[in-house]
Amino acid sequence: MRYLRLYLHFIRFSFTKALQFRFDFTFRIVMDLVFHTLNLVFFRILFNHTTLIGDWNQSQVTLFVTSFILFDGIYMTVFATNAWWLPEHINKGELDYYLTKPVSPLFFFSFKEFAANSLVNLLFGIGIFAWALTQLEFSFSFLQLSLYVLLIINGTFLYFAMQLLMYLPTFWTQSPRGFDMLLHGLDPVLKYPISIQKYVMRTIFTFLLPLNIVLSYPAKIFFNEAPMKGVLIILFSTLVFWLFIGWLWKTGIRQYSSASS
Amino acid sequence: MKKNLNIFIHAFTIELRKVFAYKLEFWASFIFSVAAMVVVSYLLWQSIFEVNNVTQMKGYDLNELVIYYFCISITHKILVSSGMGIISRDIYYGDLNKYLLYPVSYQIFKSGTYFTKSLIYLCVLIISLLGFQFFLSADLNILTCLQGILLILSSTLAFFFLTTILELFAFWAENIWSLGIMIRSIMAFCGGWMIPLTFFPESIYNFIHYTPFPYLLYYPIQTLTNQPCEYSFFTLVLIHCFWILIFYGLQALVWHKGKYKYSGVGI
Repeated sequence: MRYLRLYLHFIRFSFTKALQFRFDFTFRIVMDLVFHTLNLVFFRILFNHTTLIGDWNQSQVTLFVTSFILFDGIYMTVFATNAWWLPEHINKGELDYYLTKPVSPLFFFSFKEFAANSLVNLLFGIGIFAWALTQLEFSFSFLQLSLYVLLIINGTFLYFAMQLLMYLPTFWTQSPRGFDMLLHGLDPVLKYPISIQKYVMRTIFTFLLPLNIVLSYPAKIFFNEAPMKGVLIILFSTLVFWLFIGWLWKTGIRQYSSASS
Repeated sequence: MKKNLNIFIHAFTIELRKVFAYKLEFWASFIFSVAAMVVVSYLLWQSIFEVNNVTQMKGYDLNELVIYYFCISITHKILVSSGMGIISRDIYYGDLNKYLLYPVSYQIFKSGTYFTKSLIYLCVLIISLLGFQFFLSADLNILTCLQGILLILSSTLAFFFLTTILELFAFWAENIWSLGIMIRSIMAFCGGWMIPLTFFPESIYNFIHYTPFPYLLYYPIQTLTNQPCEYSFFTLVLIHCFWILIFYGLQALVWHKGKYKYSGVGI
């Protein structure tokens, strides 16, 4: 309850801040709209030359692409800004601010900034996702929709954990940005449907660095390709991943010297 | 002239040291991002070729597409080598003050910083081309390769001036990061980084030729990889000169107007 109240304070402050920087507020919205529109056009162009990508048809791929918009909206709103600053805080010895507060430092750092401008894009994402659902050739149940929402939210938490995995080595290497570009470099794996992946790649990005679990498996819920047992395994593996990140964070904090690099 | 060259080399050397201070991060990020794009694009096109039951589409077979994505991924990295913030951060934090007091050109100093990673990536591209030629028997030609490399260098210069224009908007706007990312997304799409332009519908294909992006990314790669190209090398050089002059003129104008807005206080 105390943490929920704290989070509501974070949201209020973030809105006040966002409205002070109106140029940035507007341009972030335009940037995301351009970015996602180009992504949709890209797949539309591909379907001018084929009827299937892997074994997914156009409506399935469109649903997958709009899932990315939805995921990106949630991730950019809740986590992205917070994650971005972690390596700099470690590198410049600024993490003390988080460590000295009477709340969990990981919670405080993870949720402090709420990107109000990205919230607008989340609304856009919901709208376009709803449109993509109407394009599907087959029907779906309310249970499928609920599970999908659960898995997309789970996916954003999982992606944030992967982002932390790339940043936390900064505790040891003192590098300015950690391995963040490595995860950004793997964006194509996240943004292209799993249906194109072969066995080895599918295994690596499902079990080792679970990018497939972030988006592709949630989308498969609608195609009746992900059974209930799969949902439980996804939730369980996210929990295991987060336990590992929690352990890495604690180990990293013990390494943290507070000195500027 | 000699003084400017010395400054450029000095800035270049400092940045080179910074880059190689964290070698593992630099090379891991570079290799993974290029490899991911090439592998995913290969799998995507392999599935499309299988569905259509063909070995070639729009003049590309799978091997040519792999070389295309490999070259365009590295070239894209050459162009956007440094992330956004190279100039705007100086404006926001008030660090521009010290550069204004130095008896050296700020832009020459910043270009030295900007081109460091570009030149490292360019070296990787050249070595890779040699590898393609000797080990994969790619249909490359020494003359077109040299022409392609020259075009990539002029594209980098043009994109540096374009980035400078956006960065200098920091004199007026409180955050230009999103503006920069938006332009880079548009370049990735219109420059053929996501898909070769020959696959585009005619209307979009015609429209994007009014933008500079196909000339900065797609056509240099077509020349480099010895693929059919609707413009000759000299026409592309002229087009590049045109865009370089436009971007240079605009950034000089924005710098001239913006420096009177600069308070030096920082935010």
